[in-house]
Amino acid sequence: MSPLTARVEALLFAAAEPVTPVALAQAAGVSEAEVGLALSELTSHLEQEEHGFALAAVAGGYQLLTREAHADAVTALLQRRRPPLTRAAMETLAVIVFRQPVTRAEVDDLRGVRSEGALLTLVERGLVAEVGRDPGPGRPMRYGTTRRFLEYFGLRDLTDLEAAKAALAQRVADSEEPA
Amino acid sequence: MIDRLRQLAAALEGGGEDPAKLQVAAAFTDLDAAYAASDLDDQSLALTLAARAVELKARALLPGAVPAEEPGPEDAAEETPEALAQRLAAYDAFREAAQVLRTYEEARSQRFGRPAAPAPGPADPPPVPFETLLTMFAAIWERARADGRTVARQELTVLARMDELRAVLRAAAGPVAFEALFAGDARRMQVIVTFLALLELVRLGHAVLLQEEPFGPLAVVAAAVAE
Repeated sequence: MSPLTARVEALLFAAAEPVTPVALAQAAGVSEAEVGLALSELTSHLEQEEHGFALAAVAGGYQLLTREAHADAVTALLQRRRPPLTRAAMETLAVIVFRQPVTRAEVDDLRGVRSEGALLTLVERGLVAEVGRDPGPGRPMRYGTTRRFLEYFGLRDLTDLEAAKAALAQRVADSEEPA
Repeated sequence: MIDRLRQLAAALEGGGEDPAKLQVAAAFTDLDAAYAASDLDDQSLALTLAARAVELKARALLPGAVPAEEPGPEDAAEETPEALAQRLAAYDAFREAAQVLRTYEEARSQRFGRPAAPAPGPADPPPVPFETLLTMFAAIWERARADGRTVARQELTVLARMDELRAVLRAAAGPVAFEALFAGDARRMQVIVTFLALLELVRLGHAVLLQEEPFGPLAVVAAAVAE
């Protein structure tokens, strides 16, 4: 492993959040291209040596994460597991993810029930945030996903959900066609 | 339940099976599961949909009860069965999209990164012992007593002083020395009012006391700044 790769590994180890290539380059005092090569070498190294953690591309950056194979052991050690989102919160989030920016009323209309509580939960957990106001009557707040959303779901960016988005759009279009 | 409700809506449009044969009661079977989940949102959703299923069934069986062809003004906002079927179909699609997100959530929950270290500074300050606060206050108190020999009627209230302190802390946009908050208080009563106001701000969570090291200087920061 080259000294630069080792340095990048140290930076990623010390960081609690995904680190962008730009930030890595600045901290290491090298160019982004050099960081890119170091990341490639680090990925190969961690794969070949069968380390307990791997390099993951998350939220526009990179992060060292333990491998799934060791999840039970790590959970036993840390004695913690983050609670999953409730079904209502997940459905509300799905509407926001695939229709953002969207108002609460639009979410309510689609779900047929009030989503205020679920939306508040999502905002409190930092998964969605206010991203502006709708120009319509009352100028209601619009919501969209955050960087924390990408981190929470382990997504590189929203394009990771393109396939799901396309399938969803097709199904919605089908439902709107007259029988 | 969604599927059963959509089936009902389709039947009402005339393209499905005989509405009378649709088992609305079956739509309620998921209620037990919803309540067992003890999630208020799930419970309200299940109840709403079950109620809607009953309404649709009643319309199917008693077509004269609600004039579907010529709705009155009060029914203008009523969702037609066709619109309902469309909405439920779209909702169903989003529910499946939620399942996609769930798979990502489950996969990510199996992997662990370094936990975030507690942020140093005002966002997570170490608690300042009350004895320390009293010691600091005692010094100010002694100075005030030495300076002030007269007891004058005080017009400044704790509430008003709280507002003043809030303004000072906000304007500072950072920690303010504890002693500095008493800079204008020459008399004992003024010192007391300021101290009570500060305690109240801390109690309400509007201000945070900071002491970076034992016996170090005490500082105060607005909670908004601390966040």
